[in-house]
Amino acid sequence: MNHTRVRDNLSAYLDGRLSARQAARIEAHLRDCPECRAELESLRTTVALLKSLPDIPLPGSFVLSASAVKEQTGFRRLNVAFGALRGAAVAVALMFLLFVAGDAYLSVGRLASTSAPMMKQSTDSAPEMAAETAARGIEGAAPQAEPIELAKAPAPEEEAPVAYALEVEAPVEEIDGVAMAVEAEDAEAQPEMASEATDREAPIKRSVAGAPSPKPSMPTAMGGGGEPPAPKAEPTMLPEPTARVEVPTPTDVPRALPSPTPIPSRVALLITPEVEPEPIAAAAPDRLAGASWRLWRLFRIGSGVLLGLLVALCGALLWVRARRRL
Amino acid sequence: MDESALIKAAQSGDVNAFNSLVLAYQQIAYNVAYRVLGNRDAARDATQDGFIRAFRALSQYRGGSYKSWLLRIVTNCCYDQMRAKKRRPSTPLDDLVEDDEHTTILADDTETPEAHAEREELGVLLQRALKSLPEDQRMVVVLCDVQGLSYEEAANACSVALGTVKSRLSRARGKMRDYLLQRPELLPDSLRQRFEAPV
Repeated sequence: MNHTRVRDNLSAYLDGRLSARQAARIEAHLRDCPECRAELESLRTTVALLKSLPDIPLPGSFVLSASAVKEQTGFRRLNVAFGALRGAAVAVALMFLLFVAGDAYLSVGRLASTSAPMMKQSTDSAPEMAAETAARGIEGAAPQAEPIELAKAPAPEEEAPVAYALEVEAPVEEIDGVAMAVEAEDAEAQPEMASEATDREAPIKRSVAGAPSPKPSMPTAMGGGGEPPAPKAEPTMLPEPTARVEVPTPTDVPRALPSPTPIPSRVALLITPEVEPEPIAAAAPDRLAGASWRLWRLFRIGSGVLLGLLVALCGALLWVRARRRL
Repeated sequence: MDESALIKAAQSGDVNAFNSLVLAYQQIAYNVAYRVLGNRDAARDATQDGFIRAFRALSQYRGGSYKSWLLRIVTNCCYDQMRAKKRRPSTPLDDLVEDDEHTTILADDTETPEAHAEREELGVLLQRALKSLPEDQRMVVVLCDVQGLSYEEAANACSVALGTVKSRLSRARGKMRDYLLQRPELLPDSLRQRFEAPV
């Protein structure tokens, strides 16, 4: 054992704090080393001198007075209050963090759930909406006889009258046939009306939006009579292709056919009517969204309440801490 | 009433029981404070603060050595005093060891006045030697060598490990010895011979 290691352990050896093996090693070294023996003796003397120091006379008694006890009793209560407030602040802080995490989680989920269906609806229904809107615009004006032709883009002005004339022929023939049937039915009941219907020369006319109103020289064909009808510029309502035909009289106020509004292609794409979502796909998100929305709202309100409570607790802690230091 | 009963009564709010404990430990508490701080006023303040804190924290005492528990509080108060002193600008007078250790009371009837004077001079020298030590080493040597605490009690009072107490004590004793050997003229003749005599 070298000198340095021995001298480092002399103090513990002096106090009997070494193991038997360590003490034996030091004793063996001390037998052969006078310097370390001198070191040991000097330490022993120093310790003895320190132990001989007398007690210092007391300046007075340190017994607590009644007023001091009363003051310290109040301090004890402050200690208890401080501990309770600190625990409450920690608990409220943990709950606040939990609520904030829940709020953030539900907010992200709501954003994802609301954006996806809307995008799906807009992409799927765009062409359908365009066709439907175009059909609605022209539906009131034209009878159900020629819906396909009406959905097309409006023809140029020059061609409109011709197209109209061509379109009109079919319904005119049909109306004529129906008129004939009505005549047969009402022959007994209203013989006068039947005769008037056959002699009627009311032109059947309808206007097409975007095109000039057709010239009064139409129609050219009327069932039965070979004479062309007198041109009249009064548009009349085309009767529905049913058994009962309402033959317009000259005195009837012609009802102008509502002009179908052309719908540009780009407008149709922009129209986003309120289309009901698919029943199966929409039902489930609605049920989940309601519950998660309530929960999200709870988290948000709770976060605000807990934050206020945390601020109040921190203020109370600071006040109690200041009182303890006084 | 034994110490544990007094402690229980004090924890229940019995002020008289606590004051009984104060009377039993005030001397050792004041000795530690004075030997560490080297000043009567500072030692008095540290001791008073220590007992007040002990009264406040009595509910936190969970058994074990009450002496160690109390001295831990007193040592903390001493550290507070030393930190406060460092913040205040010191004057040369503050650094002097007080000579009030001198007492007119003889140790016993057989002690001569010369022995009494010699003992007092030695006390002053030792106190100066203690003051020359670092604060942590000074605390350990005062607790173990001056007040007779065990290594475990000193470790508990200083809130350090047992090995730390051993190393600090070893270094502190060596420095004390060197301080005394550097001033042999101040040592009593009998002691000077013991330091210088070959073994």
